[in-house]
Amino acid sequence: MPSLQTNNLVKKFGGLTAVNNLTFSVDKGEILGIIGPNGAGKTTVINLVAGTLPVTSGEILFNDDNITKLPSHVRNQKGVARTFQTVRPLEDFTAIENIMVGSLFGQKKNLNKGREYAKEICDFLNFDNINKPVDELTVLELKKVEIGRALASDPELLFLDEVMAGLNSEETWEIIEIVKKLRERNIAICVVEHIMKVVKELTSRVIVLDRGEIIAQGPYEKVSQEEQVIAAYLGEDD
Amino acid sequence: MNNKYLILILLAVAIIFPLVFGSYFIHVLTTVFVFLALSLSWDMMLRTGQLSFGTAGFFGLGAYMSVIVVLKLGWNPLFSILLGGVFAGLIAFLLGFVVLRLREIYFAITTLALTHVFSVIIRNLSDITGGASGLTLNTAIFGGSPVKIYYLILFLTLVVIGVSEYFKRSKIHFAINSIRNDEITAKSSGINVFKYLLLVFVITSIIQGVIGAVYAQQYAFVEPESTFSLNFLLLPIAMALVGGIYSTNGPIIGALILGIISEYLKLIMPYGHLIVYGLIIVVVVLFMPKGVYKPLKNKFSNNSLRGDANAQSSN
Repeated sequence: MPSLQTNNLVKKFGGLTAVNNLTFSVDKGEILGIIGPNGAGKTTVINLVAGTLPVTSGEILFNDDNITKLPSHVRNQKGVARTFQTVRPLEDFTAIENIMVGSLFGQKKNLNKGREYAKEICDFLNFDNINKPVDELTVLELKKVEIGRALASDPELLFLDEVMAGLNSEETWEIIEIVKKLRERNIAICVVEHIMKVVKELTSRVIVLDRGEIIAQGPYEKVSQEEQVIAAYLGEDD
Repeated sequence: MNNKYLILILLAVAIIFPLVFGSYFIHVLTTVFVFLALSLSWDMMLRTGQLSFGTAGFFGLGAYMSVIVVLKLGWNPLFSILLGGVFAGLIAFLLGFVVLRLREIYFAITTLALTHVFSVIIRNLSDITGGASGLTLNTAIFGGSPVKIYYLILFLTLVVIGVSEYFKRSKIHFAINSIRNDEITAKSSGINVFKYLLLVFVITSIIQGVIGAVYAQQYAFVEPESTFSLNFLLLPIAMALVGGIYSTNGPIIGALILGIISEYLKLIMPYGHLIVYGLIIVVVVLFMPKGVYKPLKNKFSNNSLRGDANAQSSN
């Protein structure tokens, strides 16, 4: 049974169709890559599934449950979590408090249990500076806060929106190892990523979006050879 | 540890105060408490990121409700104060479904407009509210005894301080701080934004209604002009800004400073106190944008430079 199944998902912004008839699924324990050039609609897909934006038409099934009309906080409580492409830390909180928000509300834990759970997440992420205010954190630490907050809600479906962007290669590998460990927890994961070595390393399957439509899908090695994909990324010769 | 003793000392001073000082000083401190409670309630709403200008409106609703049930139905004044709060809370609950969809300046302007709407409605329901001339009670609560009124308002103020501290120490703090910082992050982290906004809006309106009711019972009259006066909005805001927003201690300190200074200035310079009052606010906002509480706290809790960083991270 797929963890996530979307059927004919459409999102229009006025006259612009950002996502067009998108049907895809992700299984538990699978890492799906969502790639495509800028403006292909990758982040919009996350916004639709997480409930940040309402869909124009189509349906979203999560564990066979139709969540298309549910508000985003309910989707999070049910087990859909996401990170944001540009990190959105809660600036008046420390790192651990940011992560606690996920366990307090995503899982409805009380303050003590929420803090304990957040600490476990920090250990898992190998994150020490948990009591620092967020404006004193490094880029890597901010990314960990972003991932940590999503994980603290104990998701079954996790969207990672370009979490490697802005990291050096050593840091990128650290995050890659973390995501691999997450797969072992039987979470369904979707990674939106521009860095192809990350996609290659992590994903078992990718879908390639261009102008809101799937133009190719399959294992990265196969997809990356397809002419349509190369054309979408590099532009076509006329 | 020090804090606990300080709180106990302050509490003891507040309790002994009317036994030591005469009715003028009791009256001054009673008024300070009224504005302190309003200031805290305004700050509690601000912690969600919503700038409310409705403080005077819910204050007035509570005041009118309380006076009306005492005058027309012969209720016990103490119950009427409770009812004033419940009524303000109920109106806030109903209006909340509309106004809490608004944000920032739109929310602020709408709540300000509501204050005006309330006063216009009340002015025109003259059969019940006495219209433009208002209503007068036969007697103030407790026969007008300043000491009893002082203790009643002290008690209510302590309850409000308690609610504010509960907000700071519970999950509500995490919810409303998240909403203020980043609503989209809050939503995608499982926070029911509307539920928490409505909760805080209703609770703060109840506080404003109760305080309005007790104020009306103290002076034994209500009248549209003075009961919905913007003083009950602007002074609490000024106090929170001077003391420091997003905290319990800030509005308390701000209310004490501005309340006492303005009373003193009234004595040495009739009406001139308003100018000085305004100047203090401008100076504090310009040079101490976080209010006086946090800088003071940092100064007293750290004797060395290193302590500064530690205090911040252990907070």
